[in-house]
Amino acid sequence: MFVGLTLGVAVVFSVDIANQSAKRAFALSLDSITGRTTHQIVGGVSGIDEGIYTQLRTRLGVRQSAPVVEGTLTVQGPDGSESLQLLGIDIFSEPMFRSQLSSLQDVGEPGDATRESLALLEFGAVFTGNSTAARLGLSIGDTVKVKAGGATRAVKLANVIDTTHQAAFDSMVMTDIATAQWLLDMSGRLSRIDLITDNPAQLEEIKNTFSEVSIADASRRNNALVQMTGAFHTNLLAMSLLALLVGAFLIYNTVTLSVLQRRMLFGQLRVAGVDRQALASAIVIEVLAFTLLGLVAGLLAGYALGGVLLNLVTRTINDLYFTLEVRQLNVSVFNVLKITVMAVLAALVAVAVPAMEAANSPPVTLTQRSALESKTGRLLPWLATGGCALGVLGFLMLWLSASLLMAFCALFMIVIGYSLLIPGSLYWAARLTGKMSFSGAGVTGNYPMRSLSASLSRVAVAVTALAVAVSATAGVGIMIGSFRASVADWLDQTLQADFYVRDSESLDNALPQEFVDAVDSLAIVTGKRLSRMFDVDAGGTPARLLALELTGDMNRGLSLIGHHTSVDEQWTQWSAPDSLFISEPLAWQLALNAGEKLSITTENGVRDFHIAGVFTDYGAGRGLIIMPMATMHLHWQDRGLSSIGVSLNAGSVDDADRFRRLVKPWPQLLVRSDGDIRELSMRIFDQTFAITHILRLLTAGVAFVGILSALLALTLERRHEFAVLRALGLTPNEMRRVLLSQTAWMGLIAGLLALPLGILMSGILVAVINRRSFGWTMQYSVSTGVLWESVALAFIAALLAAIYPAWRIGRMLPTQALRQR
Amino acid sequence: MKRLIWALISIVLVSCGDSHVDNATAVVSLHSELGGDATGYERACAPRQFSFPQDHQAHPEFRNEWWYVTGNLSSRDAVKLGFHATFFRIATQPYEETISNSAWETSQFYMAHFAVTRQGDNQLYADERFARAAVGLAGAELKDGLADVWLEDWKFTQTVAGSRPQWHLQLDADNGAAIDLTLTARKPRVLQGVDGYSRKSADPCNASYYYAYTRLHAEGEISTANDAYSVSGSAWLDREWSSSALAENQVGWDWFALQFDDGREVMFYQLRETDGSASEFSSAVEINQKGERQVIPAPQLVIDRWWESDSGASYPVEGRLIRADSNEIIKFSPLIDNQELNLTVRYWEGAIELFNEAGTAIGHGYLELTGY
Repeated sequence: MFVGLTLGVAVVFSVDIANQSAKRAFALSLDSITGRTTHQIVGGVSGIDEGIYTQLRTRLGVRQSAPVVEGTLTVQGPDGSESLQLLGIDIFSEPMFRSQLSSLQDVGEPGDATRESLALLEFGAVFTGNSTAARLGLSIGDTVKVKAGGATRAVKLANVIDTTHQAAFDSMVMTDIATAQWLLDMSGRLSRIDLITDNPAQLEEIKNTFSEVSIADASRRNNALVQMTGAFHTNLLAMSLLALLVGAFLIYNTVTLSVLQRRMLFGQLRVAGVDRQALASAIVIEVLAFTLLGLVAGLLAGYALGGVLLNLVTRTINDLYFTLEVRQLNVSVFNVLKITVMAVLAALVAVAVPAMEAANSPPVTLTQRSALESKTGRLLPWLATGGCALGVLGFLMLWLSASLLMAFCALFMIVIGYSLLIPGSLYWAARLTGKMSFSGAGVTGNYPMRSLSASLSRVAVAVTALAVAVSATAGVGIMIGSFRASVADWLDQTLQADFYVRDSESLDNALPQEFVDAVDSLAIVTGKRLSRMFDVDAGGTPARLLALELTGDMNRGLSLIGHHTSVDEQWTQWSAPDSLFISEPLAWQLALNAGEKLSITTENGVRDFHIAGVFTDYGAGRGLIIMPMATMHLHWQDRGLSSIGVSLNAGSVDDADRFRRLVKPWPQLLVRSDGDIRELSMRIFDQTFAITHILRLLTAGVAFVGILSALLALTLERRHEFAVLRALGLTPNEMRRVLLSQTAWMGLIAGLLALPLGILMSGILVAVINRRSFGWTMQYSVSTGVLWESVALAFIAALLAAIYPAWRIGRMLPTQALRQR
Repeated sequence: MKRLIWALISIVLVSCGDSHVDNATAVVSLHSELGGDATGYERACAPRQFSFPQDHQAHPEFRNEWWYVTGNLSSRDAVKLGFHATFFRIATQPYEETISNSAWETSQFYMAHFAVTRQGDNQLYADERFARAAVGLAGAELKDGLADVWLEDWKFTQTVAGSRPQWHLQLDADNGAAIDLTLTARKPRVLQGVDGYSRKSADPCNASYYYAYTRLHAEGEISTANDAYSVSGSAWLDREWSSSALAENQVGWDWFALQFDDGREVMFYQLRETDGSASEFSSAVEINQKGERQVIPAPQLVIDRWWESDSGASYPVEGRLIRADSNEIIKFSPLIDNQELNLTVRYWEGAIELFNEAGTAIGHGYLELTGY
């Protein structure tokens, strides 16, 4: 009972705190990136003119403003190199903005923070997080090589920031704005100006004074980020809810069994004169005491497990969204309270029925199992009816509401509803199998099934837990499989060039013109895909803009969805001025469709663009906008290229080598073949879902323990029955076979029962939940492999669980068991 | 003569690595630090030829410099107010050696602060700001022959040139305090020390270049947090630049700028040494009604009352100056006690009222107390 409780609590608790810690780190990191900023003055690709900041300060008197120069650079230390975000600030404009400077305040006297942060003013001085410094093997005072935009320069690590409370700093380099402009080749330009203002008149004045820039609402930018990762957290939450459900089953199961196996004892106690109430309360108190013990152990185990899960969660966020370093588990009273309430409630519900029954039944029936079994039998129709009702309600909710939360509630209800049907199905399945004739196998042929249907009350909950756990693994497995297949297809379609060349630091950096010219003069290139990528504000939401130009035999490489016009027609529309394609997630986020208008802030002000089509995109993060290069040039000054894709004469190894040699003189450029990119993408995909694999295993583990404890209790309780069988002449091996065949049957039934639920669940995950949270449409495909795997998982879990009880049965001395009776 | 102040600012700006110094030890450690630190900067070692308007603007080859305005004003309904406003320039390197082509890269920084005091209040309305002398955020330059000193939208702008120049002083804080004054010179410029070369210790290069306008007519608006006043009165402008400062045994500074109702001014500073005595390089001058300057023997300072601020420092805010030449007794008492400026640099800078021995009001002035 103890182990069951501990495991149930541990799984739910660990998922919960890992999820929460990641969320909290995310909020902290948002805070240190954008701080208390309410608005941001942003420009085009190359940022904004630094003179705007001077004007703001000296002419408009906008005091709560801070200039920012940011970009990506590679920092090389003795112990490795890492790509980090560079944040260039003006220390004198910062005080009210970002919290990072205050982290220096943790040491020493008040005022030291100001003094220490002034070290940034020295040209070439940088700060970084203490853990980043440790990872790279750097100490304060070291000269550090950094690489940005193709040039390697030396800076000095002037101080480190304690990242205990500043998680975001772990992957950031902070420096003075002058040093940042130097490192990023951005002299004269700022990436943005942060503002704190709630004064619309002031914003209006800024807008009127500087027509060339736009003012973005920082909270909206943050919201977009929160939304992005929010979807991921919601999916995790779903996993933790499934774990909770399985955990609750497990607790229910263990508690029920611990009461059931002592029915005899309770009967004897009643005979001995213990009154009903005393007995009931004794049972409840005992169970609660055990629950609390299990709870404490479970919390401890969950905390340890949480650390492991947190790493996985963080890695997923890093892969999908942005660098986030979390080392601290964040546990609130609320987490503990939530899990305590869950455990105690599950235990109370579990104990209520047997305790009341034990207390209310006449003593003599207590000692007879048949009484209980017949009651269980009477309960089945009610369970089934309730289950059906819940399921119908769940589907109604899915159908009626478009919200993500409702979708989860519905999924949960369908799962519970289905699980209520399992005991009934089990009963009928047992009766059905029991009616079949296995007479050829002798007494061990018919006996196991028929005896099992007689002990339904013991095994139903365990089988249900196993079935739900397996269905969850099947459901998620099918979902991931469908997703993976969709992503692979999408990559095949998108990656049309043989090689892609980009700046190794950032897509914001333009390729050197000499390189572009060199590619132009290379005769072996049969087609090119020229692109420029940068961030824009689209209808109030930050998005990535990709300007595209295809030449030669380069294929388009986009999969357009929506069928109201032909694909060719959509491409024709796209080529017209002020037209574009948007990605499916962006369309979902902005509730826009082909044929509608999208406003984008360009260097010439806000412009409306015609949406010629919507394309499939599984890139996480910001929504993507694709427009022709010529259209981009109409609205932005930038003439650089972020990447070039080339196709070469098919299959020529020489040509590939020639192309690679061409890129060699520019060490800052990164060449990747389509194969490399495909492989990398799939690796990231698999990494992303690593956490779901772990959770599937955990869920299966919980179910395994459920089966094990159910079997242990069952064998303990049926000792007498087994002893009689032994006395009748069954050998220990035959006894084992009886037990193993019973559990194998249980596992098989659980596995089979899990399949419809698993398929149902994956259907909801693919068609509803992922669409509602990410805006991704996937092709739904069920691989028979996953189905077989699930049945096998249930079967093997049950068999494994039976090994120990079977071994015990074999060793049982019949005489002793009979004598105890 | 605000050497201690720049010293403290310098320590804030320059000695960033030394994180565990409180103000008192900062001052002490600074003295030892300063000896070698002036290397590379130009130094004031002998009298020089001043030329105007050029000398109204910054002298970046020196380590530090300030434009320091103090004044006593009264409103139309006779509310007495005091103000001081200062623009400091601090260099963190002796010469501008730029590595990058970023306009933000500089070794010249500006700090400005101001405070407004109102009779009857028990608080000071003050604010400060920092900016680098780059991308137009701060500076002190001649524009069309007029000196323009600014830090963002805080401005000390010369509006009239010549022997009776005029300035517009404009600063405001988020807490509502603001100064918006026109300052017109009523007397010619005074070169302090020897022709503007003001020596502070035995080392001839421990000195500054120093000139002042000791009586300016002030007219305009002053605001405290909630109230705005139309005011007029008189102000005082000190201009000083140097590269090296206090001697090792000097711990603090009492500085008086006194404006008498009969048209005279007295400037007196007393450097305090570690043993509590007054340094021999303390100095006093009197400027008569015609604007003629005369060195007078240092008066005797008798302290009558100390005031303890919330920050725990005690300041001698009330007392007497006894002139050695005429035996004239000048009693001074603060407009309000709490004129401690508790910003990046903490010191007491306050409006004072002057009385004769009989207790009759004879003028007003500003008193600066540092190193307490």
